[in-house]
Amino acid sequence: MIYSFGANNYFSFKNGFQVSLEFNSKVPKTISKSRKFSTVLGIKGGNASGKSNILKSVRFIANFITSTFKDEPEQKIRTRGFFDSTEPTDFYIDFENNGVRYTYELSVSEKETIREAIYKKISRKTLILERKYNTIKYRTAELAELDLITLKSNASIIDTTLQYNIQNIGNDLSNIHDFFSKIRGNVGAFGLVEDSTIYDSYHVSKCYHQWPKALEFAKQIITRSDLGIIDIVIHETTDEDGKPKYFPIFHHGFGPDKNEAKWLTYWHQSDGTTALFRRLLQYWTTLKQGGTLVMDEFDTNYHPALLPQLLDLFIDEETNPDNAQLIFTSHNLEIMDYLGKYRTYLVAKEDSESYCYRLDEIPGDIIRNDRSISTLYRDGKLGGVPKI
Amino acid sequence: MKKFNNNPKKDRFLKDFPETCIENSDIELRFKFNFSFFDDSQEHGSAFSELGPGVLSDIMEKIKDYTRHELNYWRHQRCGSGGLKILADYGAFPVKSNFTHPKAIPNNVNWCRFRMENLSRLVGFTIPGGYADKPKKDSLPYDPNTFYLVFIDLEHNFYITEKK
Repeated sequence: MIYSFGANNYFSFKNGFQVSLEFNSKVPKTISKSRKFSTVLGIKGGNASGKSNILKSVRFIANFITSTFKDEPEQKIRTRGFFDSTEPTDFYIDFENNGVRYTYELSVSEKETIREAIYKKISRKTLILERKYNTIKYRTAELAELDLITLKSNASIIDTTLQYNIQNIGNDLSNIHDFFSKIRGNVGAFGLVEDSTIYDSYHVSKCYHQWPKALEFAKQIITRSDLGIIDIVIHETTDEDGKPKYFPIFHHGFGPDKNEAKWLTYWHQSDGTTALFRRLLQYWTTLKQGGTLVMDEFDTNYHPALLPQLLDLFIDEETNPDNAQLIFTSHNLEIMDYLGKYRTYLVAKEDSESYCYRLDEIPGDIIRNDRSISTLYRDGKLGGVPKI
Repeated sequence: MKKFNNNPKKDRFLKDFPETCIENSDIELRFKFNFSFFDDSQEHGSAFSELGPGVLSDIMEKIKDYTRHELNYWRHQRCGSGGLKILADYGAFPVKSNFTHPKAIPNNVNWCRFRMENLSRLVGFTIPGGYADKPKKDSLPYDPNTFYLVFIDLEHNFYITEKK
């Protein structure tokens, strides 16, 4: 799980930002549920405030660590500094996987990797690997085999090492790679990617066909969301090449006991229903396998009343035993009241420069248990509201 | 991760954030000034427009300082070589005065004065304490923590027996 992450000179963030999911001792147990970190985090702010850039930074780090070795040598690194800045962009992320806590630091320009460093928390935070440009500056004895590899200026040392399939280097690098390979969502290194593009209905239906538990999970949520649907059945047909093709049929209930059913195809459903049908697969996969789901405009197509039960999937230990995390942006206001001050970030922009703060960083007593956060936000008392 | 948490715009936003809410402030104690009974028609009283350069702004600065506390606080504070109280109550309109009781002012108010610099005084009245618990029907309660300014008395002509 992610404890915190940040970047510096990254898109609209000229100066640094740091996003923390860590709970301190002030957080009541009703919120923390005895966890040291939050499993959900909402980011709010006006359009173009920079909130999506926060999500992009997570995706960028994940992509850099897991899939840059295959890039051609002339491929630019998919990052960007503040406007035309030629200074490096810095990133860090503090996370834990399989019981080991790491900090990863990265400095890059579009042209090259300037520094990569990995720290591991043993009794204290300890440097285990540092690369500057294409040279390894420090490594532990366990990582001695890394001296054999040739680094590429646009690829992570972690991805490179694993592609070389080097043995006898312990499992830290594969553990880190594994963690970042489980960061999913609808955000690419340069912004939002429509989930209908990533997962079309046929692909989603195929997955539901393969994983009956996922279908059961999706059905449970859809049938209790007052969409008029009482059952979903995945049917099989063949495409023009004779290969199996899967599609859903939605059964709608009629009559006093809703036991008379009439069916409709995917294409007859509302945008809200089809979005939920597609995205529930992502939620289920993340909850089942652990990892982080990064969702830009999480609430798109959803009625506000639907959001708490979706967040609860990640908050409840019963549905989220592996501490999967959901980090999202949203324009919905009421969600702030549901998340509260320890799980909400606001992003504001001044002179085209973004900055962000967790609501519990706001000094004084403006945010109290008996006051609606969304009302304070709407009134402009917490910042982060567009000045229209 | 100091480098990442070093954002001057964020720091300024949080530093300048208004921290106190009404319930946790002392706003209910701070007394109010009311100018609606102000009378500049009498010979010894000054009009705002007649005040010399800097005098009006000095008065406003004093008012700003005084209104940080409740009226009762100033009833117990003294200043100057004679140790005069900053806010002195007279009760009834003084018998020996170069001013006269303005017709518009209720006859049962508590006359009092704020001591300013040297001889100058801000003369006015407050609602006697006993009225606080007796509001008119469907009306706001009387406020004994408001000072109603009536005269600007630069030469100490209101209560002329008071030590100068």
